Amino acid sequence: MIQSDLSGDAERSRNGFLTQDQRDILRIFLRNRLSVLGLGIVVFWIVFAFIGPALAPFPPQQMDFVHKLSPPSAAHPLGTDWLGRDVLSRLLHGTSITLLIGVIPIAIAIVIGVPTGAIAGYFGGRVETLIMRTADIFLSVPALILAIAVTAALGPSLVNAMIAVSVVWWPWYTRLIHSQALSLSKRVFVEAAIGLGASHRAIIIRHLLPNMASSIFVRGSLDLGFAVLTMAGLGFIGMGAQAPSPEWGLAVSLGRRFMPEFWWISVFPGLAIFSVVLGFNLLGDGIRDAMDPEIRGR
Amino acid sequence: MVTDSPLLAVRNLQVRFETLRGELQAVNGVDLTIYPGQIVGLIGESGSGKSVTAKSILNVLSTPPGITAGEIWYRERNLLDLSPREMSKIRGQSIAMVSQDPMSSLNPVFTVGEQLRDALLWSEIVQDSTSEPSSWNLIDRFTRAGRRRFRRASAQAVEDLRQVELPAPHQQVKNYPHQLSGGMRQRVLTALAWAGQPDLIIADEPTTALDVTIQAQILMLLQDLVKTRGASILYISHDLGVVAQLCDRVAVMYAGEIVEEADVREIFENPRHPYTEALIRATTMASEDDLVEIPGEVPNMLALPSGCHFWPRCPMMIERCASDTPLLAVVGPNHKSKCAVIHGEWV
Amino acid sequence: MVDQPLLRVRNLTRSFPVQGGFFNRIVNYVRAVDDISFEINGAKTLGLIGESGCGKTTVAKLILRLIEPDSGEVMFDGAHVLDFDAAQLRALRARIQMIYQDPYSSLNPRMKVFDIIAEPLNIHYGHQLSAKEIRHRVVDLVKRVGLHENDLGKYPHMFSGGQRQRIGIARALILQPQLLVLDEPTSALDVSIQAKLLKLLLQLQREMQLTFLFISHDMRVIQLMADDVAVMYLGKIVEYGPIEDVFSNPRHPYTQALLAAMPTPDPGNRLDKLVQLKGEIGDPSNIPAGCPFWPRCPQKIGEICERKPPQLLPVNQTTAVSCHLYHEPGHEDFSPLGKSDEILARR
Repeated sequence: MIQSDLSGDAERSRNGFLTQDQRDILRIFLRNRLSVLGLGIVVFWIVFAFIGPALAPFPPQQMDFVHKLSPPSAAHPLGTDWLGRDVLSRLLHGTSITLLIGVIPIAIAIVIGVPTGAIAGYFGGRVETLIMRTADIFLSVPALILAIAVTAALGPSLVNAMIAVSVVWWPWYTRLIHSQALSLSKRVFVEAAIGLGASHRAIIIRHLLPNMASSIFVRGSLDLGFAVLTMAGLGFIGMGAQAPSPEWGLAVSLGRRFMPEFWWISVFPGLAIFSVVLGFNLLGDGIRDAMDPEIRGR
Repeated sequence: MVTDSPLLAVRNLQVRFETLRGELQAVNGVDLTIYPGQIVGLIGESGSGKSVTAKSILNVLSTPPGITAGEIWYRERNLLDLSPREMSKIRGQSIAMVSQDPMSSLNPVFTVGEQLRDALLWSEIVQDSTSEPSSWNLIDRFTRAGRRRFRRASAQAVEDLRQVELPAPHQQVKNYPHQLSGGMRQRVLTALAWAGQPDLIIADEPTTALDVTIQAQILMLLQDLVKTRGASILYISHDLGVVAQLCDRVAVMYAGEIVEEADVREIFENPRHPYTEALIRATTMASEDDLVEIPGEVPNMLALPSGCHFWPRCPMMIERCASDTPLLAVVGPNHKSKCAVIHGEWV
Repeated sequence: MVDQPLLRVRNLTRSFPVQGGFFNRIVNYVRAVDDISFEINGAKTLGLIGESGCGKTTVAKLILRLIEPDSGEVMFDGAHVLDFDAAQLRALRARIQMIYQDPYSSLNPRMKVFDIIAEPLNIHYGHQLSAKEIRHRVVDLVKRVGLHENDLGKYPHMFSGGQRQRIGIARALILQPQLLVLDEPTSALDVSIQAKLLKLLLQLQREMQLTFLFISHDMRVIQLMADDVAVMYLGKIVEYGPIEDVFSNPRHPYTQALLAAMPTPDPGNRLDKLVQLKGEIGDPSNIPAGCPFWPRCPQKIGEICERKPPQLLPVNQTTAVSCHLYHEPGHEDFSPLGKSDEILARR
């Protein structure tokens, strides 16, 4: 109540190549150290996705049975695995593929889930029943079983595994967006827009989506990590990334057999996954706050 | 006329809040005295600090740093010196609060009977000085004494609801808050506030959400309860009409300060502060020409004008108003005003 | 009088199903709006008064066809609104605009003020107007409603309630509508802000020849704004006539109670005079047989009130009342002036 009385001082200045708004977004984002840390982590891994292979001391598949299962040392900073492959090199080579299999299925899930959820929540009625019950059917099958079924039907490959994960994932977005669209539709400004003669499409795009963007970001950044782990699970049963691939999830699941004595085989890729998930999460939170004009204006 | 010693005396209350844009002085040097049996109205617009003052009395402010100076004397004790445990005994038992929003003040998963029963049980537990209050007693249905207490409190709940004129209290105790209308919920809240037999009720705009015919009934109820039980009410409102009808004494707040205070008849018939006067005329709304606007907006609490905070909006402003700070001075019988200008002269 | 009213509503009725039970079957109907007729002449204001649940907001939505009526007729500027196809409806929505009660939720928090005000232009003339022209119009209007051009780049939360309501007014006026439906536009605002906004509305009405349907529960606001007034109770109009006649000589017991319950900032008349009605506002899903008001009516004549629904019949040249007091008993056909339709036609 008190805050609302404190009118802002957003004088428009036309110098610089950023608008006042964009500068405000940047300012809020940079003010939050955690979100900057998240951005740093994400940028770090994206950079490594590109230059990692060049930096790797060994080729990812080079085996060295003499030094297999050797702990971290000067020659192998993160140790070697059961075939004597350099864990660090595999980590660096696996960065790009791991990021991709995290991002792509979630992106597909968002592309399917957001419009269906928005339509269901906004229009209601039979459309809603149809969409939401379909989503429920997908949700009622255990995720991994469904993914296995999909990959089994399409044939095991990385691409099919990604399709499988998006099939498992979209209903969550539909549900999230559905509930948000439902409550937003009852807000007076949506009714006002209808009263102004706005079309349904315009209302969904101009009034609903901008108000839901932040929760999509947060949910998406959280899911990224789960997607990597699910892909690893699929890989583990032979339906995702296939054995010699340096993908992290695969490395974690295969290295598990050697725990706890030879912990470095699983732990380092695991830490890498952890840091990616953490990075995207912090970034997601930061973006959400920076995009909210009400937080920004204070 | 009331001659006893005051029931509640707030002295030089200072409340500050930390916001993202800096610290602001929400309440600045408020003095407020309430005598037994008196209904005191605290008027102000949103952001004037009236609700903050009320919450300070019960020490339920949530934003730091909160109260930075002042004294709040309740009978012989300064509430600001009390420990949290002692304070929780004061809340509900000596001073109770009725809030603006009857829906969110009631727990949606318990029936109104259960909520009132628990409030009665708790007040009985707290007032029982032989043992340390323990929330165990609230769920104790296993001992014979516990069951007896429960039965007694449940019966009392029905009785209390009858006193606040809730129709068919026997049936209503079994209802959940959402099954009641706004007016009925406000009656339940009133009953809840009286459960601990407090001698001061702080009512924070309790009728704002209600329709006029229901509002009239609730105001009547409050007045009757004061008469029959001899308690006092601090009635916080932005509606001058309600305050004029209900209260004995009125204090007007602006930008965290009390700008005028007098007995109800005096303040409405002879307002001495231009802000009070403008508020009264804005409430009357007889015709368009009569409609006095107060120019400008409620001031930004982070950048209050120097001198008298009201001067940028004041029709009677003279040069000194912007530089000198006026004092809350006695201007008549039991009448104080913070305007130093009379007939265009600073006095 | 003007030859043809701008808005003419005849026998408008709408009920909502109440779902309940295990299978969500329709168990009952709420008669939100029950056989309502009124009309507004160009550049005039009809005040629609009533308490919560009386159906006044439903009337507004029916006129804009945000919801569809069960039966009845809405004529706007000589055309039957209920027969409009989608394209005509879109065009209609440029000519009738609505202003909402809640200045906080009626503006999209993610849109800048400029985009909010320009949105209607973009919807209706997006292809015909240049960006410069749109900007020009928005800037022009923003100044007329008392905001600054610099405000256009800000977001709604940076404004106070009164300023937000000005943004809402600008959004409603940008298409230069003929009819403005105002649903409690000032009831969420502070008194001093309220007065200013009402003054602005009156001024805009004069300048732009606007016709208002002004919905409020506040008799003071209606008295200031309206030329004619319709008092609603549980979906029905119980009294309808020119404001001077209805307010100086209220005939329906409900109108009398409403007027009495309004607390005035005048400490002379005390609380007990405010309370004329006992009991709660009726439940719209369970409207009593006969006159909907009889369970609360202090002037009930007898059994006829519980049995026979009174009709809205004229009591003089200009005013119609729906109460047996004036049409019963003994003079069932006592209506020298004919049915209310005719009186409307005559005016």
